[in-house]
Amino acid sequence: MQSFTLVVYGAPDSQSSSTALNYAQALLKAGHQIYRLFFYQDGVFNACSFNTPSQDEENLPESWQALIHEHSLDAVVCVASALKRGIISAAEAERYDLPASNLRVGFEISGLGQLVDGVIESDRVVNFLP
Amino acid sequence: MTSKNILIIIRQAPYSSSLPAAALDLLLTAAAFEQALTLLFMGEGAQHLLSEQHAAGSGMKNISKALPSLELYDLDKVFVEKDALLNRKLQDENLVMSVEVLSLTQIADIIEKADQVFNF
Repeated sequence: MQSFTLVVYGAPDSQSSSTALNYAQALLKAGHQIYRLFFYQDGVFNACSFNTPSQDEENLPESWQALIHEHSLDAVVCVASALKRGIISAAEAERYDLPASNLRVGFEISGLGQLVDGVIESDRVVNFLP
Repeated sequence: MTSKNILIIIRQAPYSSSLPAAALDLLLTAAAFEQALTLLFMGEGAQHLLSEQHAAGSGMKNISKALPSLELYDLDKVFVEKDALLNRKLQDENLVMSVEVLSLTQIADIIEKADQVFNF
């Protein structure tokens, strides 16, 4: 059993996000532990609750959310990446006086320090670039 | 605090995406966590080392200006791929800082020695 941190750099319509999701499912099935999921750069779009893809496409943010919920995973969204791309928690919406928030339940907005902590604490960090 | 050997490789050209700036953000954050850090420029990424970049109007961050101050952050080493310099006719006097030049064999060696590699 090893502990992993997975870093997702790609939006929900990228191979990066779907491969990372498949990899996460395979890790858990094999009995490994996921220390943290870190959504960085365009990967923050996986934490959006407004996605409504057409019916014949998988809703990856929804699949991520289901996995996070089912296994109580720590899912961190990089704050700098999120704010500049418009992924906004209720707290940030209030702070910046924005008309709405869209962070999906199960995801948490935090800093890049959480990625470095993942490097320090996990046995392996796997990056999923777009 | 546990210290790991973290190797950050920048391969993307300047102004091509926000990944090179993200590499620097990660580097500075890891430095705050007192990790052992190495920075390596490969391929198109070597162009970040070129001095006299005027980025105003590009809408992108110019990271080359920040590179010389990295020494303040206890960075172990800054390396560049030998062929990346040769192929682009980049010479020492055109660079924003002095960097150690590595062959691909030497690069393979530092990748081998790193606990964690990030590619940007």
